[in-house]
Amino acid sequence: MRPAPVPPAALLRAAGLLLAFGSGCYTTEGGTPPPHDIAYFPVGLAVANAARHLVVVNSDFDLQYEAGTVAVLDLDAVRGLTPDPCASDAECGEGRRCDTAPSDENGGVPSRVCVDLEGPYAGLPCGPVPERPLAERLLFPGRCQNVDFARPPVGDSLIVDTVEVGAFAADVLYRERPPSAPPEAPPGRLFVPVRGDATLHWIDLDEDGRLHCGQGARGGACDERHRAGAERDNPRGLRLEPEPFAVAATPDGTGLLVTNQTTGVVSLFVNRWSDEGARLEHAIAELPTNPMGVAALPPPALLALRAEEYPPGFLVTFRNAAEVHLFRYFSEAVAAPEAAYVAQAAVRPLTVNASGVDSRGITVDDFERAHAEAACAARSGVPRSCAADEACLAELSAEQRSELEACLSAASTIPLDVYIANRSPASLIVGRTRPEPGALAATETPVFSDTVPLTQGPSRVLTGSVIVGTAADGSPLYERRVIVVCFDSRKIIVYDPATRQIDTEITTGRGPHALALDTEHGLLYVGHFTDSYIGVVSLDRRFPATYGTMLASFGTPSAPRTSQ
Amino acid sequence: MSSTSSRAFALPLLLVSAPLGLFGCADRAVTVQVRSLEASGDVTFVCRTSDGESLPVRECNLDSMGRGERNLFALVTQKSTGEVAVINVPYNPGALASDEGVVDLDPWTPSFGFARIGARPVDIVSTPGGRASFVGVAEPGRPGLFALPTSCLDTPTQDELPRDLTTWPACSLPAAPASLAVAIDPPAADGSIASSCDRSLGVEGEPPGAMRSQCPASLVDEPGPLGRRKLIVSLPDRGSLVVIDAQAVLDREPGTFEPCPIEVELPLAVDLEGAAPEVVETPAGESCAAPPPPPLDTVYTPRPTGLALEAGTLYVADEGAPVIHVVNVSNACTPMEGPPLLPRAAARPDRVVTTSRVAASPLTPSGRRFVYAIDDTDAPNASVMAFDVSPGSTDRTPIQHTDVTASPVAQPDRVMFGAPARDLTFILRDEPVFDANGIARIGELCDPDPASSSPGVAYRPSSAGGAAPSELRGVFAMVLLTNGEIATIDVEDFDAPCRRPITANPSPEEDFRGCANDPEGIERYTLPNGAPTVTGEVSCDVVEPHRPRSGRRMLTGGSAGTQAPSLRAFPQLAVPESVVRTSFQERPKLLAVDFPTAPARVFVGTTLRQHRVGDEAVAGELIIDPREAENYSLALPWQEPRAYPSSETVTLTYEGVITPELPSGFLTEDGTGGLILEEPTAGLCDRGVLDPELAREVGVERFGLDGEALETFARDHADYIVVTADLLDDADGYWSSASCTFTECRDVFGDLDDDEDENAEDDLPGTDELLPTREFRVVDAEQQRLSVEPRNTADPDRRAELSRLAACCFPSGASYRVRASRQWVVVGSATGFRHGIVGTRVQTETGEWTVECAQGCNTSLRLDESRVFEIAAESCSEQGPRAAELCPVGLATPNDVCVLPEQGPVALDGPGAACIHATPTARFAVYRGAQPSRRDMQFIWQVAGGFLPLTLDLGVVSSAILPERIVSLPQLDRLGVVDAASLGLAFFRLDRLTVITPTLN
Repeated sequence: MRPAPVPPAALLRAAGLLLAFGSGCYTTEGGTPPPHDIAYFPVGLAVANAARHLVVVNSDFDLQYEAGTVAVLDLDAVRGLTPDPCASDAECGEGRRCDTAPSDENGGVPSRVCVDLEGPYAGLPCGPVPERPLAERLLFPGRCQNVDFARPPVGDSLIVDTVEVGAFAADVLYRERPPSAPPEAPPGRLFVPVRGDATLHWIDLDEDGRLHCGQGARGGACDERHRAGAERDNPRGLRLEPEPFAVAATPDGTGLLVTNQTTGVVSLFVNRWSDEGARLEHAIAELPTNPMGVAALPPPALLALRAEEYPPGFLVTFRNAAEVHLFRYFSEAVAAPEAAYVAQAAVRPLTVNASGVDSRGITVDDFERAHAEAACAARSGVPRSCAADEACLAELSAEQRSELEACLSAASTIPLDVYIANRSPASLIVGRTRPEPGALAATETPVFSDTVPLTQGPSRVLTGSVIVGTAADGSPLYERRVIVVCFDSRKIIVYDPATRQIDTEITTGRGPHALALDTEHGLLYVGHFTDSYIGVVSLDRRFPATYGTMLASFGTPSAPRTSQ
Repeated sequence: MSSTSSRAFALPLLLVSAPLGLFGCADRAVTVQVRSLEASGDVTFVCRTSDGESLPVRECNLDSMGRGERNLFALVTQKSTGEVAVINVPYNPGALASDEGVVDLDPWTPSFGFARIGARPVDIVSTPGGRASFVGVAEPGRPGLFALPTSCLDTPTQDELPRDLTTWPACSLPAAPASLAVAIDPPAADGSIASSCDRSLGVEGEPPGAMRSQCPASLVDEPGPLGRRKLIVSLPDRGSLVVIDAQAVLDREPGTFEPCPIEVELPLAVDLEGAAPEVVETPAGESCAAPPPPPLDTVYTPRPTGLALEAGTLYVADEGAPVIHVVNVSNACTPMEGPPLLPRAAARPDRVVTTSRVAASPLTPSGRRFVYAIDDTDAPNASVMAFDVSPGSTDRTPIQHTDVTASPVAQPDRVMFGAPARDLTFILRDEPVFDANGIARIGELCDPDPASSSPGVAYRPSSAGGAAPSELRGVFAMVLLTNGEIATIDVEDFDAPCRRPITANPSPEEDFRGCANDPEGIERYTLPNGAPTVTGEVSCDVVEPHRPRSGRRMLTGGSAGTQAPSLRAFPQLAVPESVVRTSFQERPKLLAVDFPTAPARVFVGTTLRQHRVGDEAVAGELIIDPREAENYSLALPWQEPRAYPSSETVTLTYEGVITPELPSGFLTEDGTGGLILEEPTAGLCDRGVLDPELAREVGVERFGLDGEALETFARDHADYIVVTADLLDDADGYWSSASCTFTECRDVFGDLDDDEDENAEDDLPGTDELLPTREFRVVDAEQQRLSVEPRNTADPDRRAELSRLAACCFPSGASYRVRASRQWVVVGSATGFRHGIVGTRVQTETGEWTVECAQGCNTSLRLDESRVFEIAAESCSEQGPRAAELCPVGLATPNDVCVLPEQGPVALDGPGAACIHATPTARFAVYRGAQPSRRDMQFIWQVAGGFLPLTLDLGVVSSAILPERIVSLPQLDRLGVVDAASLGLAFFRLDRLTVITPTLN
């Protein structure tokens, strides 16, 4: 991830404060409280609670305020204010039509979104939201003007809840409560690495979108207990290294790996699904400097059926080394009597590019394998979740279990796809694992064999599905895509791994950075770091005219102060 | 064009803005290279006269361009912006004429104006006469074809409209295209040319597209082969090729996007008949360990992608099926698919090998033709396969080499490089020498016969030139790698007969130089005056078809320096401190061994050292008799020059480590007195761990052992582990509940803390100093699991007790190393520890899978490739109390496999010959010293002058490169490379093998 260009004065101030934070003296007292109703240098987005909530992490990057914030937005309300793409009236439902012809309301330019047939917003492509003047659309792409978080043109505030976190948050990760967690555990938990005070904040998110991190009052700051890594309260007496940057977690959210950008360290946190939360347990130093992106290797479902030794894996990229490192997490259960630890298992050089250094985001895609595993469960007549639920598995007949195991064993050999956003040269590096049954952990180091040219400044990458058609039963059909955000060039690249072609390039506003995918609704949320707002992009390929375009924007844009 | 265009400055501003933002105003001006191309993808070339008439591209040569009579235009797709950039290729890029370089098609708008087409251009081709070019676009929801008439490649005049999306005739396709080719529908017998594949529509006439006022285009009378131009488009999602009349696309009303007039659609088949798996040969004649190939009745969905058209045959790469389609398009209206080529991987028969790009060679002067294809899914890098499609060839599988050896990535049926192959093309190039009558033949072979006077003698190496690595005379494949290098593969080198040693070998048996079957009557390739008729290189295999070309003349000595495999100096022996005071005589000896048909020889520095046979004196004698030798030595064979990395440091270590320290071995008792070591992440088979079963294979195949001797050999020579982990701290709470005590563990295994030296860099002592109780012999090896037992006790009770204690004393993930047992281990700094062991899936009775270690199918690697067994002697003539210390070859102990009856060198066909280490990169024997060899005794030597492939490198211009496409421009004697990153369009001069700067961007 590349920070946005910031004014020199702000940088100096930031550097000074960062030095102070680096020594562990972060405080929430004595400064200007951060506003809770805006986005402010957003660095992390996460879709949560079955796409009912969007978590926005605001970094307070120019240190204008004493803290950053985490906000939860009501996604139903956000989608309600986002135009629906269409090709014909049939897609728009009762009382609406597809805006396909020039009209006075659309200014002679059809929007190809659903518009009201009647009422105060009849025929208006943006509904209650004013249209953005043409002159502004170069800087702020999209036809519709930004919607204020707290004061949308219709309805209540979009903000469900907020809390304050340390300044200079860098990332966010959301994990739902796994089946193995006690029922009283929170339904979901957020993990936020914060550079300012060198901590990993952990924040519980309930089903109503409320945040819980020991804050004194709504909107208050997370307490000390929720800022893991600040104290040496762990078996090895460790303190989190400065500049935590990115975080990844095992699917059950118990093992978390954090990269420490400036010190060449990766740190292991263990999260207990209880009030104990996350705790720093181990760290590995003497790595190449500038570890950056981190991604977890999703374990195969087969492991739930078979007691095979499988320490979960994490892949880490580096700015200063053309390498990807594989780390393995040994949980307390296997590491006893010692505490959980992480070990470096493999190093894979990146040779596909001439230089290969300056790697940023990394992601691992197990879609194909997960799809096969779901098919195994269906064939055995059990729910998909059963394949990972020991209680459910215990109820299977021997025949069912045997059939499921054979099927999952075959599925476990399906390779995982690994993608890295690389800056020098700007490219997407493509790799695959070659899993062998019986030696899964030993064969998960990916081989990188392709490189896709990108535009300037790739930073984050994620995989997900876009809607490409409609099934006979009316449900959407999906295809897999890799989505790479290119900060410098204001582009988001959508790459089709099946055809090995770039599918589309999305033009964004300044400083696109954080991404979150709302697969079911065919939407991509984009955090614009530089101008501090959230964009909503269509990823519904059924409608080519709007595919990859900015449908709506939320949060009042605010340019960095010296450029205002 | 405007150099101040916003497009041109967009990138530089971005690059400059960051530092300005950080540091404020700069005092000094920053020079930033201006460029306009971004995300370039593909290129095609068209040629025009100075007055705008289109010509076949071969008409634009350097002479005609230099005279200003021709203009060569490069049309470069811009994948990011959905445009085609037009470049008037300069005669001299260093001094652009006013009309050369990037053409601005829209001078009224700031920025370079390019030809706007649909988004996501995937391929571009031009007609043979250069009248038009066609671009396939894969825009979501709007896939199609755009036609660019060559008449419209200039800046429009004031009277013309700006070129935009509606300037170009276009049509929509039913699915996204992948690749395009132009084929010909030939004239009928009466010479008439049909306007359509539907013959009922009559013959062609003046097309509508020719009558436009702006951008007219008619292919009817364009130069080039007679016949109607047809576009062949691969549609991966439909698994088919479609044929579209090119003129019909040009005739479309610009600005419209109606469906393309598809005349023929050919659904492609996946015909795997004849693709039955072959039996992979191993030295023992046994099958190797690999999962079986996919069943022949597996259903594949074809996904045609890259196309290569040569002599009326279209070769179609397929990303969905293990075939390369072969389609006869000599009549483009009736394409006929024949039996496909069958990509496969000999070393991994279970792999489904698919391809992305193909290239077909021109017919070579010897009448051969080859198709090369990129195997994208190969690991670690996309590789290149070669197929023989010469007239009469019946083998549809990749060409196999029988003598590929040594490199871990070397495989018999493909070429792999240090980075993935991205694209490839062929060049046919000659620099003919004209005779007195001004006559020369293209493809004349160099003639090394000293008695010959054929025209081929003109190509012999001489001070003025002639056969040399950089002299590209022949047919070569040029492979573009993703890292910006271009690798050269020899296909048919016209100078190959002259690239060889001076000495001849008429015998049918290959000598150590790889020479055989030389013509009778030639003893040496020299003229009567002593002048060589050949290059004098060390090997007859310097040039081998379908293998990487050497970048240097492989010879050592004289003015050449060290360019052939040579030792930098004689090997040195390093010994552990405990035996540092022993004498040369007492130490093991590493000595060269004669070749089967010649005395041992090796370059040491630039001096050739040679074993003297008989009484004939030789300069620089190499002494290989352990009774006389004063230097350690080895011979370097030259049959396989590609086996040598360009330079390497090699170590030969007694009981050397074959793995680095592995961090997390979990030890548990196995219930039978042994231990299980679980190491989920180690990949122990891939690291070459030898268990008794594999050692048994070595014992049988190499030493002919059986019965008890074989079992003893297997047990003695299977690898062992050394636990290097420290004990938990004695204050750790673990000890209070454990079934062993800290003291007990410390007494048995030692506590590393006791040995810590405050000044030591490493916390751990060398494993040589660890207690023998930490050693455990491998009983069975799997990819992530070892069965082990205490190595140094035969007492079952003691064995069980040690195992129990080990599991108790090291309760968490323990670090350990794997070492070879009673043998020496060769490790190269570049080639590592070489072995042929792989993990092979085995299903247990319970249905679970394990991955056992077994001999792999890569015939270029033996499982004992890096393992060396030493030679002892039965007797010693020395007398007296110190006799044993004075024996040049140490005395044998029971169970030694190589024992000489008496002191002296090993004979090639005598006792002990099985212990001669003979690989493509070394030939030697290790004689036991008077004292037993000790763990970590280590011979070290350096080899220089290894194989250096001939590569051209874009990296000399910039590291910000992402090359996409390579094309051959024979009329310019250049290669063109499209770079998606910073370079745009780059050219390489083939006469000088250099990149031309500046590049066109």
